[in-house]
Amino acid sequence: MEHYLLITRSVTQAQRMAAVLAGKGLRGGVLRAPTALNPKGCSYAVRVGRQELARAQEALQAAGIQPLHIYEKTEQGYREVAL
Amino acid sequence: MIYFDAGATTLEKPDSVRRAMALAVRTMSSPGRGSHPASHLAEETAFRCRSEAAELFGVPSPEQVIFTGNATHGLNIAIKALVKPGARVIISGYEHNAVTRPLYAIGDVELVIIDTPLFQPQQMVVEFETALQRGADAVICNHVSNVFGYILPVEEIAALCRKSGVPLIVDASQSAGVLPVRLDALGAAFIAMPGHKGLYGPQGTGLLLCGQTAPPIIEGGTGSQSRLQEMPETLPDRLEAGTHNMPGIAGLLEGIRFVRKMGLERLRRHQQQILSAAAEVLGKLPQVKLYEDTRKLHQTGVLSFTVDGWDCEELGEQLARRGIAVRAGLHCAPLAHRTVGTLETGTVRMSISAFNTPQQAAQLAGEVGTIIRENARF
Repeated sequence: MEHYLLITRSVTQAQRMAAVLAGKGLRGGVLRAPTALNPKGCSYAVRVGRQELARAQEALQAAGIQPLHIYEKTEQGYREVAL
Repeated sequence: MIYFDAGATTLEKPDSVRRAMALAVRTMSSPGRGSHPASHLAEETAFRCRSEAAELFGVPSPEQVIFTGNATHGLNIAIKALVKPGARVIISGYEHNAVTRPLYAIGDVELVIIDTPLFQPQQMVVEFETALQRGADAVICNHVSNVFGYILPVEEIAALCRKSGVPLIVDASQSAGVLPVRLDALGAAFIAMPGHKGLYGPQGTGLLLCGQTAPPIIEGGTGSQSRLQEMPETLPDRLEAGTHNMPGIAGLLEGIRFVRKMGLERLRRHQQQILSAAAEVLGKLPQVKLYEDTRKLHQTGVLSFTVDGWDCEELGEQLARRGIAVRAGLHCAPLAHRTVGTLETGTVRMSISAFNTPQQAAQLAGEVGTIIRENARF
């Protein structure tokens, strides 16, 4: 299934993001980020659905939280999306 | 046992604290360390604890709530972030060794001690203002004296610090869960507190509320940015190296919920009622000297007293033999005793929790009277 991963600075930041998204009725699952997206080693991500990225970004911006990177999961793998 | 040593540790905890700790032992591993349910449950519990603490203490983000082992741990982080050799630091005359020993260890610190009398907050504010006119690298202030229950004018001192641009560290060891403590309102650099006193969590827990970041005092694994040999810049990971005390955090979460459910105002009124019940009886004993704010404006549920002709430790032992737990001596706060003039004698301290009753206070006071009378016979 295609989706986006919002890479965070810590598990706590990921949880805060998920809480903000939940407050807007968006599902944001917290997971450990794939190794390929982890140049510094071990990080967390929030997964959002393909149709929900814009709303998610808007909600996070309003809450003053910025992900480190956003990646789109496609059939070919991960592709970075401009913030 | 009648337990009046909540100023050290609240021994009686809500049942929910015990249950949460037992559940955590069975079901939780480490937050930020795995994709399995045991890790996720630990993550959720830790985040809920941070979030509810942030709401209670006016912290803008749960990431600014750091888990520590106790208030001393948090104070060490805060003090070592702001105070370097050669610094000028203003402190109250009611600080605990958790503040004064780290300052002593740093060395070459110019200490300005505001040692104004008990229960006279306005005089303290004036002296802090005067001291701040010469500038300072940090102000460190107890919110409530652990010896005398004296509520220091921390809001006014915080306002002076904001005006002067001097960072403030607040030791909320005796006020967290008793009085309103808000990072946003105080504008403090750091507020440190234990989990095991007024927040009714277990021993081995504490919180450091961060208005700014700090260098870590220990380094190690954080479950994040593991390829880097430097500690992560981001809070809370920067200050939380090593495995978390999940049973403790789960218990602390329930303790915080208990405090929020009871309400600070109700908890404070309860303490005052019990303190008054004890003071009324003790105050009638001519041999007893009470350190009491008779107006009840500037004192929490901590009452120190001395008895003529009695060593405070011996009196504490006598009470313990009669099933009453108090704390005697210097209470790890020789500076506070020096300020009040009890450094040579120490005091006996009763300190009250939500689980004490007025009847227990009357019993304590009655036992003190009995001990005095029985001793007089011989």
